[in-house]
Amino acid sequence: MARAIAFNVRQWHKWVSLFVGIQAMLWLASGLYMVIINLNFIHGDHLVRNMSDTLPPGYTPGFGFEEVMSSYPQAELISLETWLGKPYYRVQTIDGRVLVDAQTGIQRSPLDRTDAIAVAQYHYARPGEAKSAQLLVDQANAPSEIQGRKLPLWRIDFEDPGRTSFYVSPDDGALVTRRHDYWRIFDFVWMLHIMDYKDRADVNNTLLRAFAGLGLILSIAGIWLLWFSFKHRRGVR
Amino acid sequence: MTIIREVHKWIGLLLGLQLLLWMFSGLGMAILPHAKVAGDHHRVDSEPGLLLAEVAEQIAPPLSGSASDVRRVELRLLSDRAVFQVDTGGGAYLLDAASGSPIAIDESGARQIAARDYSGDAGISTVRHLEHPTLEIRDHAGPAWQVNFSDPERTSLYVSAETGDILERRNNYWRTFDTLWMLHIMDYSNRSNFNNPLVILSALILFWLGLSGLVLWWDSFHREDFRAIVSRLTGKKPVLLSVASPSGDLLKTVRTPGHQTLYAALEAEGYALPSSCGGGGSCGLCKIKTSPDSPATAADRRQIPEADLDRGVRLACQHRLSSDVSVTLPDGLLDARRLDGEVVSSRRLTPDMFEIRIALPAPLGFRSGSYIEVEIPPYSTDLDQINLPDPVKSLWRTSGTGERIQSARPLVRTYSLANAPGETGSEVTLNVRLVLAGPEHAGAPVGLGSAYMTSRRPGDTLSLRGPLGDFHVGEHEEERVFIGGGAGIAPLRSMIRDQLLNKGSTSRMWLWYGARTPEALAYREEFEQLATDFDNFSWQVALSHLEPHQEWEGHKGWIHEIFRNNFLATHPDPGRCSFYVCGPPPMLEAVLNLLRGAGIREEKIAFDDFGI
Repeated sequence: MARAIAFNVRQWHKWVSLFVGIQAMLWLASGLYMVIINLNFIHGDHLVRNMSDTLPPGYTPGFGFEEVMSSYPQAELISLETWLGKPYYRVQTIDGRVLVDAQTGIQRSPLDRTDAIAVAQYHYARPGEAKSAQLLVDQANAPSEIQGRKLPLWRIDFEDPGRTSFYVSPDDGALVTRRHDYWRIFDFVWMLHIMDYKDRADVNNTLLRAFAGLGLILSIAGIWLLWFSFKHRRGVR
Repeated sequence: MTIIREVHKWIGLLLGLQLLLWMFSGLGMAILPHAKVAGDHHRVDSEPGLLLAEVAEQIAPPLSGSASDVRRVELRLLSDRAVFQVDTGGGAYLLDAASGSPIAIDESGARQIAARDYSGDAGISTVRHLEHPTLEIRDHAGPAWQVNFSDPERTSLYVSAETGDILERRNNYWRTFDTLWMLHIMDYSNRSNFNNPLVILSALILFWLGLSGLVLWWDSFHREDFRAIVSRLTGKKPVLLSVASPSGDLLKTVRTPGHQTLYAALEAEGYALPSSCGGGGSCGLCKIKTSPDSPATAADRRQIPEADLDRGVRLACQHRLSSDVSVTLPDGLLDARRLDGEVVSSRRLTPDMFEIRIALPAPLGFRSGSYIEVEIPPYSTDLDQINLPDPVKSLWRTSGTGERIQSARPLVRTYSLANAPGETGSEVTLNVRLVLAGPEHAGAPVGLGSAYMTSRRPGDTLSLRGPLGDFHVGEHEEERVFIGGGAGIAPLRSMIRDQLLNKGSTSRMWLWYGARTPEALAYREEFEQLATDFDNFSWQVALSHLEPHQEWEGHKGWIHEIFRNNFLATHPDPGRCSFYVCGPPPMLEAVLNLLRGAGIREEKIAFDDFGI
C-alpha cells in the first residue's frame, strides 16, 4: 500500500516538478542576486553627492514667498530649496512644477541641455564627464526603467562600468532618479521573481499565485518523499 | 563524528524548513491583495485642494537669523491653513505662515488629520503618542501619533507629530504581509535588511541544492517521458509486451498501453516485482532482463554490474514502453507466493540477532540463497517485550527511539532464508538482527521491521511472500568461497548446508566469517561440527572488536584483510574459484573491491547487497 502510494507520488512529483522546477530555480537564482548585492549599492547611493545641501544660515530670499504667490497665483505649494547649491524655489501649480531663482525671481525652467548636464554633473560622484543627454518626451516609448514616471525627462548617460544614467526633470531641475547596470539586473531578476513580465510590479498576478501554490505543494511532497526514502531502507536479511 | 552528523542533520532540516517557509510566505504575499496591504481601500482620494493665494493673505519670513542646517522651507496648506514646514538635518518643524509662531500637532490635530484621510465607516478607537518610531513605522524618524480605527482590519494611521503628514497606513493585511516578509527575508529584528548574512547563507546553500536537484531531476527524466506525453496527446498507442519465465519459456504476449513503466505494466499482468524505493531507481530490486540494446539509464548503471548490463538486465521502474518489448522475469519471481506463517520459536543467536522459525502450511520449494518478503503491519511494542541483554538495551536507550516503538503504516521487509531447502519440513528459518546503530551513531532510530520481528512470540502469525532473489550457488562444481558477516550469515548458511547435506557436493568450500566479538558469532558449534564431518569444508573467523581481556586464538582484524592475507595472497589460482558474499554494506564493499582488484571476473562473484 505505502509503496504503491509512494510510487504514484514519485511519478506525480516528477511531472509537477517539470513545470515548477525551472521557476523554483529562477526564484533561487534571482533571490540569491537580490540578497547578495547590497541594496544601497543597487539604489546607486555610491553614484551621487550633494544630495543634502543646506540653505545659508538665516537665509532671507531676495524674491519673497509673497512675490512668488503673486507671480504664480495658481500655486498649491512653494518650496524654497537649493539647486546647484544656490537657493531656488520649486513651485507646484495646477499646471505643473517650475524652478524659480530665489534671489531674482527669474524662472529657470524648462531646463535646456546645458542646465540638465550641469545638474547631472553636480550630483555625479565619480570622475568622468556626461557622455550624452537626451530629452525624453514620448510617454508611449518611455524606458521601463523610469517605472512610469511622467515625461518629459532629461536622460544623461555616463561612460562608467555600470553605464550610469541620471534622469533630470526639465520642470523643477531635480535629479529624479539614477540607474546603472546592477539596478537593471536587479529589476530583471525581480521580474523573474514575481513573474510579472509586463510591468514588473504586480505581486498579485495569477501566474505567480499558481506557481507559488504548486511550489509549496511540491516542497511538501518532496520533503515527504525524502522522509519516505529514509524510513524505507530495506531491512537486513 | 557524532556531532558532525547531528549538525549536518539539523542544518539539512532547517534549510528544508526555510525552503518551505519561502514557498509559504511567497504564496501568502502573492495572495494578499496589494491595495489592502497598502491601506488604499480606506484612503480618501485626494481632491484638488485650495490654492495658496485663497488662504494665505500675509506671510511672515520663515527663517530667523539663527536657523541653520535648513534643507528646505515649504509653504503649503495643512487642514486649510497655510503653514511653513522647515526641514533640517535633525528633523522637521511647522510654523504658522501668517504669524511665524510654531505649530504643534496635538492629539486633536492628529485625530482631525487621520479622520480626513480615512474613508471607512469606523470611528477612531484610541490615539497613542509615540516618542520614537515603532516597527510599524520603522522607515521614519521623529515622534508620531498612532490613530487606531475600530474596523475589522484594525487600521492604524500614523501622523507625524512634527509635520502632520500621514506617515503610514497600517492594518491587519499589512501586519500579516509584514510577518510573511520577515520570514521571507529572514531579518527577524528589523524586517527590512534583506542583505543579512543568514539569508545570504541560506540562499547560497539552497541554490546549490537546487542545482544538484536539477541534475537529479534530469537523471529521473528520460526521453521516454517526453514520448509518453506525445503518445498521451495523440492517443494511447498500445505495444506488445512478451513475458518469458526465468528459464526462457514464453509465458504470454499481451497488448498494453504504451506510456507506462515496465514495472507498472508487469504489475498489471500479475507479475509484482519486488521494490522498496517506490520506483525511484534506488533500491535495485525490480531487475528484469530485456534486449541488451535497450539504453541503460544512470540508475541502471548505478544498480547493475557491468556484466549484467551487457546481458540486458535493467530496472523495470526506469523504463517506459515505447515499442514492442520482450522481458525475461527474474529468478524465483514465478515461485513467489503469498504465505501465511506462524512463529514456532524465537531464540537469540547473538546479543542482537534472533533465529526465528516459522511454520508454513506446506513445505516451501526454494533455492538456497533466496529471501522472502515479510509484511510489517502497523504495530507498537516496548523495549521490554524483546529479549535483549543489558548492553543492547542500553544501546537502544541511546538511540533516537524511546522505550516504546511504533509504526503507523504497513511496511515490507525482506529476510534471507537461513535453512537449507527441505531440511526442516514445512518450517523455514530467518535470522533477524535488531537494527541498532552503534554508539558512534547515537540518536539514529531503531529499525522498525527488525523491532517487529524480534518482538514476535510463538503462535504469532506473519504474512509472507516468496521465495525471491537471484543470489544462488552455481551448478558447476568448483572451489567455492563464502564470505560474510552479521545477518548475512543466513543465506551463506543455507547455501553451505544445501551443498553439503542435500547435494553431497565434494567441491572444496570455505567460509570466511567476520564478526566484532566472539559473542556475535552465530552457529559457531554448527559450523565447527560441519568442518569436522566434511573434509572439503573449512571455516575461518576474524574478529574486529576484541576487548583487551578477551582471549581469542584465531584471526584478529577485519575479515577482508584476513581473507586477503590468508587466502587471496596464497591461493595458486583464485580466478578459478566462485565467491559468494553477503554482509553489512561496508564489509560487502570492502570484499567486492578486494575481489575486483585481484582480477576476479564478475561472473565468478555473487553477492547480496541487502538492497541498500
